[in-house]
Amino acid sequence: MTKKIIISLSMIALTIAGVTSATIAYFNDTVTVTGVTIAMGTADLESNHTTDNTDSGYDTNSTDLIDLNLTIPGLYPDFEASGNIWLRNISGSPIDLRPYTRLTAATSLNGDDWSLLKDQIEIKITDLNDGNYSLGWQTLEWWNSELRPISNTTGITVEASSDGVANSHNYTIEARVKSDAGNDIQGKSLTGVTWEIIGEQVQ
Amino acid sequence: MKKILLSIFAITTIISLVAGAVYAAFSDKATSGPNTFATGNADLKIAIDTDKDGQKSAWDDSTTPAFPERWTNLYPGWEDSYWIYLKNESSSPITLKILPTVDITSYDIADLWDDVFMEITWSDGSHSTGKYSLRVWRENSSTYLEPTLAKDAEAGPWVVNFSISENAGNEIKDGSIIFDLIFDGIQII
Repeated sequence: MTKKIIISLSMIALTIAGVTSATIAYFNDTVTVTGVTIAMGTADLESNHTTDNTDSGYDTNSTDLIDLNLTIPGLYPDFEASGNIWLRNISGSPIDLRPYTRLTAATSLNGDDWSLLKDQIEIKITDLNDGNYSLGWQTLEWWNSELRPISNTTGITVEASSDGVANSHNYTIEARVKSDAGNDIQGKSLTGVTWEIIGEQVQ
Repeated sequence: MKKILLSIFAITTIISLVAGAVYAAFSDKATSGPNTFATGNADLKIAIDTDKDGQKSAWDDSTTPAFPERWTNLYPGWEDSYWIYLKNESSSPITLKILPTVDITSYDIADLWDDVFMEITWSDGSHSTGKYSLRVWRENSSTYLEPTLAKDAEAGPWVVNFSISENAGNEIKDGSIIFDLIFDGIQII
C-alpha cells in the first residue's frame, strides 16, 4: 500500500512539473548586436643607447641591455661621473607611461665588493624633460630595494609631437662616491650594473 | 469473494445502460464553427546609436556597431558605450520582458572573459543592470531590462557600457575578443 501511494504521488508531481514547464514556454524573440570586437593594444617603452646623447638610435628590442658606457675607474671619495639615456613612448594604446627603474644586478669582482660599495656609491637620475624631476642622490642599495619612478606622475605622453615623432624624455644618470667613504672601498669594483626600466600606464 | 465483486460490476453496468436508455430521447445539437485559432508571434526589434547623438539605425533583428577603429588598441581602464533602442513589434498583444546575454564567438586570450565588463543603464545612469564580466553575462545572466515593452511600444536609449578592468595587465596585451550581445524578449502574462 505504501508503495502504491508513493508511486501515485510521484505521478502527480511529474504531472505538475510538466504543466509548469508548459506554462513558461511563452512566445519569445531575440535581437542581436553582432560582432562586438574589443581589441587590446600594447604598452611599449623604448630606450636608446647612443653614446652621443641624441634622441635617436632607439632599441626596438626591449629585452636588450643599454650600455651606458659609464665606466668609473679609480673610484675615490667625491668622484663624480654621468651618462645619458633617452626613453620614448611608442605604445599602440593611447596611454601615457611613467617610467620606473631598479638596479637589478651587479657583479662583485672580489666577492664582497657589493656589500662594501652599495652604501658608498650614490646615483642620481634626472628627467630633463619633466622639470628636472629627480629623487635626488640615493645609494645603490636604495635603488636596488624597489622600483623607483624617474619621471613625474604624468609620465611620458604617447601623443606624438607636431612633426609626428614620438615624445621622448632625456635623463642624466650621475654617479658619485660619498665624500666620507674611507679606505674600505679601495681596490673594490662592480661591473655589469644593470638597471631595469619599466613603463607603467598612467591611469 | 470474487463472485460477489463480479455481481456488483454486472449490476452497475446494467444500471448504466438503463440510464443511457433514459436519455436517448429526442435531441438536437447546434454547432459553432469552424473555429479558427491563428497564433501571432513575438517580434522584437533593435536599433543602435553608436555615436550617442540621437541618430539611430533602422529597426532590425540585428545590428552591428559602426566603429571598427574605435575599439582597437585598448588598454586597462578604457571604457566606452553605445546606445540601443528596443521595440515590441509582436503581432500578438503581448508584453515582452528583455533579458540581455552575451555569446562569445571568438577570443585569443581567455583572461578577456573576466577583464572586459558590461553594464546597461538608462541614459541618466539609473536602472543599472550592474556591472559584470562578459563571462557572467554569458553564463549567469538573470537581470531583465526595465521597462518591459507592451505591444508596439519602444523604449530607449539604454546605454551599453563596456570597460576593461584597471587590474588587468600585460596578460591581455594584443588580445581581442568578439561577441554578440543578445536581447531576448520573453512574453509575460
